[in-house]
Amino acid sequence: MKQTERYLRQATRGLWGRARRDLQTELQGHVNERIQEFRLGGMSAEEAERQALRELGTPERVRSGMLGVHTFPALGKAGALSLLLATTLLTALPQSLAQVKGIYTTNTSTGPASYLNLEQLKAELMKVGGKISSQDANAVITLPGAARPPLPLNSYGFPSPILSKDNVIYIQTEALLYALQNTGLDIRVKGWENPVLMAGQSSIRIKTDDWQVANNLYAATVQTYNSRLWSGLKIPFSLIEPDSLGGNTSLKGQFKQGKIYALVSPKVIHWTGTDEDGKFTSGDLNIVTTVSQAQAGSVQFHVLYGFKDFKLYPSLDAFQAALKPSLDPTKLPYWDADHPRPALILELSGHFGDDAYTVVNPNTIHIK
Amino acid sequence: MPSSPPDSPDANLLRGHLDLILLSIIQGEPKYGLEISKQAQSRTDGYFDLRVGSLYPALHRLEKAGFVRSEFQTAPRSGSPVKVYTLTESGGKELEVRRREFETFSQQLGKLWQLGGIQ
Repeated sequence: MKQTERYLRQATRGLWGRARRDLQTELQGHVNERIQEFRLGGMSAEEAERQALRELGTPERVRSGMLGVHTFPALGKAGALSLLLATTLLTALPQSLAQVKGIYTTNTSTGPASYLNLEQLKAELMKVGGKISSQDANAVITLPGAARPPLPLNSYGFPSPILSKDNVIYIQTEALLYALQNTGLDIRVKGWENPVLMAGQSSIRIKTDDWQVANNLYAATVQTYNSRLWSGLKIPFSLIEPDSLGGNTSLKGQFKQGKIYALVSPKVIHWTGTDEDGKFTSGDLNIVTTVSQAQAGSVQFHVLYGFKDFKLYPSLDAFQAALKPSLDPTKLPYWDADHPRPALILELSGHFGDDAYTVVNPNTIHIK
Repeated sequence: MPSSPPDSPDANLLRGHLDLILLSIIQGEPKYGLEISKQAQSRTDGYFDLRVGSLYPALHRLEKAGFVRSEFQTAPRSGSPVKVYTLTESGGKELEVRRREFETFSQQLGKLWQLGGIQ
């Protein structure tokens, strides 16, 4: 069944999490059924498998069709790109720029988010044979080796992914990630200080003195693209106001030097919104993801002021089960030493995909 | 003389009416992908030969639109899990609307042929 496995991998590349697993199971079921039918007709196992796969058509065709259906968690309607973008794209760019400046800020269009200097991003992309093109709301990023046509930058949910600050134009990092993700390229974040965003063979080196930029990038690997964390309870991920995580908490344990870890925990904040079906929905909990790079044997996370009394769970399911009682709309959740706040520690791979995180066993962790 | 299957429709024509075809087949008993593609063929004497590569994306699109829902069940022969699709209430309405649209379109087009002398 090597052929089938390869086929399934290729046909579902670019999809993540449950969508990918479900489609693989569905196609595998189709192939298995067909193989049985062919075998009853007297074909050999190998011939039956080949014939079943041949009927399915090329994996590329299945995949390109599927990527058009499954995008990422519903994030609202796309807005129009600012005219400022068009102006910037027409500007000649210096070739010598080596890195892309990243900032973390908030504005009325996106709320708190990280941003990258657009001019520098364009220069960095040009060096690897890619480009940001077009002069209208459908500006797209092209990168070498992409399997499918790029998506416009404004496909991401917020009203505008463009920010002008101190006469510099920035693009929202998550809008860039979203567009890159849709090219089918393998996307990965590496490093912590001045992190590097890899897309296929291309790399975008980010320069920043704000830890929240890297925090935002790594949080995206578990939040935006890996819906299992999110879908179990339908609790939204918190948008973190700049410098709002003013406390810190230290953990000791089997943490590996230089590895990236995340602390995932709920906070109480009333929210309203629309779900994937467009229905009104609301709640009193958000999930906060805060990310940090470990020293050997310890890691320190930025947390909300007053964050204490938490209990670590060994799996996503256990964490979600512990949160369930807090979803009762008739009473606000309250955490103290007797009722500790549920939390997870994740080890992050930096890869956008099913292997974005593994839950760290609480038995290996000592809370300072 | 045995009846030979009619020539397959033009690819664009098929693509344009894929949703209508799929909703029409799924109507009634819940079915999984392989059954759907087989019925498309068998019930039309081979006229609708749906490429499986476009069948599954189309099914997922219909599900996302809320016209069908799906669940995994065990397949009869292989015992593997297969995803079974059922028409939802809104899918039933959609089918009705599209069917009427198609009939009207086809009738109106017929009038043009009559006027033009094509019978």
